[in-house]
Amino acid sequence: MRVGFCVMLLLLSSSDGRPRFVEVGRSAGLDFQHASGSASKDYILETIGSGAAWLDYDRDGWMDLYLVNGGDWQELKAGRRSASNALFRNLGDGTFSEVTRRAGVGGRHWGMGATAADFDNDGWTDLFIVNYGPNSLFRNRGDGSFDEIAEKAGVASTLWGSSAAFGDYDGDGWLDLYVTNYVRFDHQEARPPECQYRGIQVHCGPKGLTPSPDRLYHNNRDGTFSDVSEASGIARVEPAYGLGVSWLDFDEDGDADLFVANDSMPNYLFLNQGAGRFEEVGLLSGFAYSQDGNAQAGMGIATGDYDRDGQLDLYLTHFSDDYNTLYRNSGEEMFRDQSYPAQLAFPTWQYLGWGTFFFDFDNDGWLDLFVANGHIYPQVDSYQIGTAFRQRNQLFANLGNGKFREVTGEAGPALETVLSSRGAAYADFDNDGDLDLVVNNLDSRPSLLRNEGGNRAGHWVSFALEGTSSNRSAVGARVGLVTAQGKQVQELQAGSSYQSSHDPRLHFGLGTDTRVSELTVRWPSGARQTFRDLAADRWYFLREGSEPVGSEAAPNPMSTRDPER
Amino acid sequence: MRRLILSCSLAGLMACPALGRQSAYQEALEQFTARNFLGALAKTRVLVAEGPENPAYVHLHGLTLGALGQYSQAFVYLERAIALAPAEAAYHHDLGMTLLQAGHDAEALQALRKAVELAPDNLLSRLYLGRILHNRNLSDEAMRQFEEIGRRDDKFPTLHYHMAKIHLNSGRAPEALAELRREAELFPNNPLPRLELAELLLKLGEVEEALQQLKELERASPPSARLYWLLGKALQAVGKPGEAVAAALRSADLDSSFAPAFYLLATLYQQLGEEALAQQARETFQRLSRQQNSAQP
Repeated sequence: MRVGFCVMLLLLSSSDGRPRFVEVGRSAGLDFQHASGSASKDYILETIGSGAAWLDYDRDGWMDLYLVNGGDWQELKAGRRSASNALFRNLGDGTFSEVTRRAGVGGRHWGMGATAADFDNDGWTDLFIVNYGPNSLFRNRGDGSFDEIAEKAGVASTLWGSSAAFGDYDGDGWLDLYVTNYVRFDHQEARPPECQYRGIQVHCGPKGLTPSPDRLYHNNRDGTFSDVSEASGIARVEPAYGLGVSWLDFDEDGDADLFVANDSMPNYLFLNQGAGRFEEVGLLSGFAYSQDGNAQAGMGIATGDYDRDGQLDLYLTHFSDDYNTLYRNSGEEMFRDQSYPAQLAFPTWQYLGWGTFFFDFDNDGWLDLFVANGHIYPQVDSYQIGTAFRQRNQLFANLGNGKFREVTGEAGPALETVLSSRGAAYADFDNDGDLDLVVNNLDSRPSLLRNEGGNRAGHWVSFALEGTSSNRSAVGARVGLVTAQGKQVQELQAGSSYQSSHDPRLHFGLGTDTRVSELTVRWPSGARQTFRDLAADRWYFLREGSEPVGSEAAPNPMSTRDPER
Repeated sequence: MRRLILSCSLAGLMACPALGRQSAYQEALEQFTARNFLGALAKTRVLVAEGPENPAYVHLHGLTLGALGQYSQAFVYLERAIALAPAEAAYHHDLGMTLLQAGHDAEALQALRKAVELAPDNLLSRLYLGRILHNRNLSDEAMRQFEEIGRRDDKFPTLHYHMAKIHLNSGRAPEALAELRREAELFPNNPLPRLELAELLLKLGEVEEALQQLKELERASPPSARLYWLLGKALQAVGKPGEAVAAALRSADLDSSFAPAFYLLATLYQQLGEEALAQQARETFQRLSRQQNSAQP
């Protein structure tokens, strides 16, 4: 039996020792079927969702998974919803158990995206869900159940929300919230599919539909939020077809700036001016358009320092017949479109991209890239137009010289599966020292891809952060480390990719390095801590103002964290 | 490339004008070929009145109407000519070309399909068929047509350029590069493939070669906004922002509605610290972008 298991592991890892991804969703118990209206996708609402969020809702040290669901068109018209979002509790043995009903997080509306963070600083991770219909805020009660408090909290906007991200823009230690909204749409008055795409009759939008304005909510520290879209300057821009969003301290001045990917319109970069004010500098910074000045169809956002120059870069996914764009941060408050030199433009031309993230799947110390793909028009399958409704996702290995190479076909057959994917997020769900990933697939089961061999390909280190003066989730904390191989930096986010939220623990691949010579943490409060000589292949718990606690096993936050901070 | 096929082919021999009226037909044809379409029209009207069942007269009359932009009338006569001589491939080709000119791509596609079916060796029909297929994103079928042309005549003008476009749209950069190099080698005087080649070289990071191509084009071909825009990008890439500005300004002068030139100018001025000029370029770029965006359906 033991021998058989070893043989199986050998087979799962490629013969050249490179990690592979294995589909384990069904065997892990992710009994979930995404639903998004009709097969023919007659309305735009049926095409753009949904996302996924990793969170440790019960603080047992294992990442649980929340999957957002859509709905049924006829039920929507009748004011019903039988589809449900789902929360899966990680049992710590590679499997999950669905706890949606007990947790009370099924949701009542056609869901789009999810983000997870401790918005009320009580030590328990909460969930915010953007919907077609009022958005939902699920406050974690700490006993395995949640209260839906969006209305009371002032965040139950009825605009069609697409994505959301938590970030503490004013550094007051409480997480604020940005929600991207897509288009004005009324399912009772929706136009039939009478628009044209390459001569094919398809559903209408977003062009021709009115864009919805995004919303910024300030955390009032009492379980409620205030809409500060006007006061902050966010509402001064032209409303756009917002889809992706990420908070990131772009100019490294210690406060969180905001990146918004807009569909078919220029992207927005809201530079935090302090005092609760933002200035939109997308065009000025080179983030609004591609290198040729084209507004692309922005969907998802990945952030990461792919070239290890200490500056966080961005990658945006787009519609087919266009390339996904890599924006390299020059460090002078400017981005350069490096998609072509990085060899990322041509390989993405045929695909319609959604969820995306940088992650070091082979622990070599260089951030690789994942892209979830899938078209919005099922009708394209009836014509030979060089694209398909169901597409394979893509994995790009970072070559360490500013270039990437697509390795989708080399990382296991699971990655070759064709589906119409949407949201995607990474997590080390099995706590084995390498990053796995989940993809929410339109009208299908989710893909849970377990990384086999990443932890043998290179050393690694993982940090779970907890703010004390800062927001408790430590969203916005920037962690830099130095090893013999060089420097790396990551910033903790809650809401990124597309409609999704990653494992909040910061995972670094270290390659052949077995020690971290220096670790620096810049907390959202502005506090800085430096630690030296940390061993690799460990999990560290970093509480603001305290020494790191390292362990060979993933820390159980129940035993290390003080819920009564 | 909008070459029209005017032929009294073997297949259409029965439809050729009677000897008595042949000189009138020849005259009309000469007027048409000399692009004196009004002169040709006067003659074809007479010919059609005298020989309404003669497909060659009807065909030439339809073609002349099409050349004058009187498309609805042109289609009536071109279709009637086909009804009179359905096996005449050239008539289907000319109907297809006129439909294409009038913006009726779907109907043009059908007409050119028929032309190719009747005359598989008519490479011009095939080329246009492939082009329409590609424009309608039916890339696989378009590529099959182009490959068919290649089997018959690998040096057919613009063949490799069109194959490159398909490769580019499918993200196959090395294949596109090879086709563009071949086209540029075969037809060095055609600026379009060489511009495409230069742009691709730029994207692939082959900046010096791109610059060389662009400088040769600057010397040998008529100036265009796209040429100078690419030249500006190449000069920027080799670290010559001052020269790049000059090229971008030339591009903007040549076409004041060419938004990418102003985007490039904005980035170059920003790079040079000329903030006021950068802002001016950004504003022009934004205005043009909005105009173009609102003009889209």
